Amino acid sequence: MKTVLYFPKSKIALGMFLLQVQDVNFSFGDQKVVEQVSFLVKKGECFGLLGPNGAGKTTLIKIIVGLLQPKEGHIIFNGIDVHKETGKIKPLIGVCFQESIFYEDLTGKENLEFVTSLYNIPRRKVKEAVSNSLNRVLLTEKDANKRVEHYSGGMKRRLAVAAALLNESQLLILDEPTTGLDPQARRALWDAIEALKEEKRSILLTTHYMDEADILSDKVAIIDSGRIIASDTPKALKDSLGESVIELTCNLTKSEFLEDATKALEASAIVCLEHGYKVLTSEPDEALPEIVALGRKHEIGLLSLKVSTPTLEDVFIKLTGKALREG
Amino acid sequence: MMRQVLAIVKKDMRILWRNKSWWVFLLGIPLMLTLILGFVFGRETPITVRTGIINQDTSTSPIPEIGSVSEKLIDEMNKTEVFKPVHLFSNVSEAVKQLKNGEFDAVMVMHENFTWNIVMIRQANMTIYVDSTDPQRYQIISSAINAFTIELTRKITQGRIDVVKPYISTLTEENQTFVVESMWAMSEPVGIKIEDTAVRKFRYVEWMLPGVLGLEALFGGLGFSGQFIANERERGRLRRIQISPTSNWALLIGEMLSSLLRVSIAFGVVISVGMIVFNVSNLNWAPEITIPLILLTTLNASALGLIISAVSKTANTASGITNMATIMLQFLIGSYIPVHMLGPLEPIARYLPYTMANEALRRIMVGYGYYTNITPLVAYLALSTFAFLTIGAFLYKITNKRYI
Repeated sequence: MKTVLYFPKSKIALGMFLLQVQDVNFSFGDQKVVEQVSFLVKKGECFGLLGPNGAGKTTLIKIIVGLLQPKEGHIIFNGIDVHKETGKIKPLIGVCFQESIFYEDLTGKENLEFVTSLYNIPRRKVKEAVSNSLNRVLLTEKDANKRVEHYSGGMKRRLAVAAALLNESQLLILDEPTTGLDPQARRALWDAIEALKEEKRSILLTTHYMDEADILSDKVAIIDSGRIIASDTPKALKDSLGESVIELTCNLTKSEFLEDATKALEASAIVCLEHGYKVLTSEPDEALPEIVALGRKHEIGLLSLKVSTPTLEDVFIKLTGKALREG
Repeated sequence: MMRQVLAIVKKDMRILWRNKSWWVFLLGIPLMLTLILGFVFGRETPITVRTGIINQDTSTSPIPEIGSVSEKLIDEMNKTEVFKPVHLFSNVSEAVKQLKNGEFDAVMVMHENFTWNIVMIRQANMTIYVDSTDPQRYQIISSAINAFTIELTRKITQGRIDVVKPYISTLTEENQTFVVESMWAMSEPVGIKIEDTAVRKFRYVEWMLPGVLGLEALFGGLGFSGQFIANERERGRLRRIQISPTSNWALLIGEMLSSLLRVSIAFGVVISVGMIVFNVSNLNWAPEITIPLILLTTLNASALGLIISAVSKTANTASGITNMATIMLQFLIGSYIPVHMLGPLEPIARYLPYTMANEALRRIMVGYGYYTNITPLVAYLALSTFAFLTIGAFLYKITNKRYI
């Protein structure tokens, strides 16, 4: 029997949601890692959890799959209370964690075959399951027959996704799938995830790359210091800013410039980046001459100025006053 | 669960087959261990005592047909495996100098009138120089020289009796016997006869082989299991198993089974080297008892490894503790150092399960049923295995949660 006891005050129809996370709290000792986190993942949706490193994304994933017990809150997966019936949800979820967790002396295929035994996939279906998974992540038969020790970082990540796909799970969890990959490998993995989306697979994706969350997610929750600070579609989040973004690159960054700019500009947020500043403002036309003048005054060596529409990172900046990569 | 256990074993065997470093561990160590221990302790050739002799004896025998006893002695020594070839010196200080330099093990000086004194039933004098700088070598040399002097004394006594016999032939038979027995009694006041109760004669290498098997069980069990959980945990593979429908216990049983299989290969190496290189064939193999006993010992060591692995935060820590434990235990379990030689450590050593295992294996394989009572030893081993497994499984469960 499916449990639908939670979200009692909500007016939304819970039946359409595959995963319900409600008021989850978790701490390591005195340190709060996850605070009052709630979100819903629809069937067939790719839900992105976007946040800097250390925001609590992986801990949240561990809670969702039943590895960690939350101090408070509930997680309902397909009507099953995860922490009361952990054993029941294990075959229904496929997880790809951050680390490469393969046996380097075995081939990619052998590693996948081993995973099929862990999931009790019937012997007669093993070959087909392995082959399907490999195809989905665009790994060739030749690649699959190589030992994992000879794989590139990108191939290992794709193999990890393939392993998570083997059990034809109802929910695929990808924890920072492209961390540490070069742009080409990232692109290849995105293609694989896009293909999975086309199959209407339900995906929960964690990332600290705003472009990744933007491109792949149907809906995004922005998480910082264990709390969800905003949640909506990427477009709605960006539109909600209603502002433009001025990005300036310069030779020097100075605290005096930042102080003066904060006083002088009609900006909702100004942050210092590695090689310049980002200004979020609803009046870019007025802000631009002011920025140039301030740049001259403080001799920051202005190199370029760019006015653009907001990204998810800008949403994060607006909400937290810091850039995603600052953590 | 059975399928998952077998999948874990299959995976481990594949890794084993492909990873050369495992083969070094699996084949190299038992091979080297058996060869080294076999050659060092189990050699067939007798000890050689490199001997220098200074013969100061210029006396002649009053009985011409006897000739020079000192020269005869040198000839006899040259016929022995232990002393040949003896080197003759003309001066004591030169010989002693070479002894101190390690070029000789002993220097014997046969003093003036050696022959005359022996034949005339007086005390003939000999000085033997040895160097105790190397205590072990000194012990071996002293034993060889003692054995030689006992034999020499017997031969001289027999010679003297032969010399005396014509002079006592006029006495009654009873008195003749009395004289002969008195001469033997004066030579050896206590007649010692050593009776060997061993069921069969064994060479040292044969006595040692069961101990090497015990040692391999320790090395293999502890070495393989001591790191696997810490390793699996550190690399995130344990987490993957925990999120799958496979239970932690399937992993544990699978890894234990793999450990037993891997160590069985090492046992094969030890036995093969023993049979092929050292011609060990005299042992009571009794596979129906020895195989379960060896596997039980391996399981015991694996369970100890599990405890170490479970409590270690990192694979490196587990590896360090395992290595330290293995290095210490190998000297304590009677594999190549008899437990009675361990001094104050003996009481600890006696209660180690691996010492019990070695003792039980020796009683079966070398004792040939003479020492039949292995039940207390096996019971102790089984109980300690159960205890280690219980503690290990408990810690495994607790720490798996802690280090997720």
